[in-house]
Amino acid sequence: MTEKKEEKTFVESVMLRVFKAAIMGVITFFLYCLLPMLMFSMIPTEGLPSEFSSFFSKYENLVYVFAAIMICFAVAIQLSSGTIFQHAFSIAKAIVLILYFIYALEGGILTLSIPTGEITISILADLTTFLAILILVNLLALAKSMFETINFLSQKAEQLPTDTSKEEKITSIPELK
Amino acid sequence: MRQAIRALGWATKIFWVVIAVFMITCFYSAMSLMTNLMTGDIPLGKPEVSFSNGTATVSIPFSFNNTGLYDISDLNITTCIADYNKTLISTSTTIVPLIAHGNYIEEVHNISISLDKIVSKNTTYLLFNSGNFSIEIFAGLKFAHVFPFQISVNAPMPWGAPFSNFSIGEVSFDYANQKVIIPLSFKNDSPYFDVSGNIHYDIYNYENDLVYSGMTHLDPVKSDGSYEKQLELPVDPSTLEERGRIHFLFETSIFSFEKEIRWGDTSD
Repeated sequence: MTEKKEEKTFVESVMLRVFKAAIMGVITFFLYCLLPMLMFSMIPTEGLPSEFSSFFSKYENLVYVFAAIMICFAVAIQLSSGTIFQHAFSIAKAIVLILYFIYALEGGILTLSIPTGEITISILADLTTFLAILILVNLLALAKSMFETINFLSQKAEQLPTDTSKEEKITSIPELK
Repeated sequence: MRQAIRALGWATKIFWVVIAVFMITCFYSAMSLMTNLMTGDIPLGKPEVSFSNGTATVSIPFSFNNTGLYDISDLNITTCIADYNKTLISTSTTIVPLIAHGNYIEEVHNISISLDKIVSKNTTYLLFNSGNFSIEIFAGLKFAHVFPFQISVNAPMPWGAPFSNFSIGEVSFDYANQKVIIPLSFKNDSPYFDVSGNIHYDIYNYENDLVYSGMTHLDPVKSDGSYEKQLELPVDPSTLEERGRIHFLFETSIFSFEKEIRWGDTSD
């Protein structure tokens, strides 16, 4: 009877987690995929040289990658909530995002060269400050996840001796032996 | 520990919101500026050419309407002109310290080419040979005081030499009248100015002795016009038959310079 109840509670909690993960996935998809795509579609690329279009399409693909990273981690974190894996995924997410931003922003210096006949137009954007801010925010998230992991492990460690002391207490009572 | 985690959590969230708002507003401003650019709201005026003190100045008026949400600072427009031998002819810079958001500015970018410098820097070949200069325009600015952007345009610029193909034709010797006839010709390829002034010349014989000095007046040679003249010099032809040289001194209203042309056996 108790086993069946426990099984039911476990299934319910898993279902709840999956449901939450699905909701998080949808929200993340909307925030990090649909919204940026809407912004990209607003860029008037007609009349611009083809190099511009290929530059924007490269970033369109990178937005998809970003959305994929965010969705995967959002779902994984939600599914593993309440376990050590939740914090492991949070740490992994912060590290992956740092690497992603460095790659996507080409180290902070974006260049685009457009040869049109005899004229060559080169565009250079120095986004190092912006990249530094993004890395800083992710480092904050990383630090937060680290602290959460330490906190989680210390709580676990605190719980274990309490459980053993209870057992000790029980065994020390002669009537309950 | 929990408070530290909470503080870090809030800091991260606030940072993300600020970044997101900043990115969206930057995007909006960039789109607004781009639309202006495409609809011609950042127009370049008609370039004007002027001459003073041996310097040709091309003035290009431009205006900029900052319809974005952020200031544009340190707008720097630099033009570098190099000749067909990659020698730097001119560097001109225009700096606009600040274009506040919602403001409209009108400026003039002056490109100066000092003809005196061309003469003094041993680049007088530019006065005789037309060709394509290379013009490089750098436009740098700081968007929202944070993001530096730079656009550079590299384009060829046709150069018309005012004394294009300056040469002497076949020197003819008139023994009967004891004259030497030297035909002179050139074409004014410069689209900007007419050539007028005087040409002084000194003629040296095969022994390098000065045999004749003279001057001819240049009637204004219009842009794209040609000049042809025969110099008839009362000199003993036998002294110049084998070889000789003629040293020109050009004196125009804009600049003056020298050139030498030899004929005959020039092995010495």
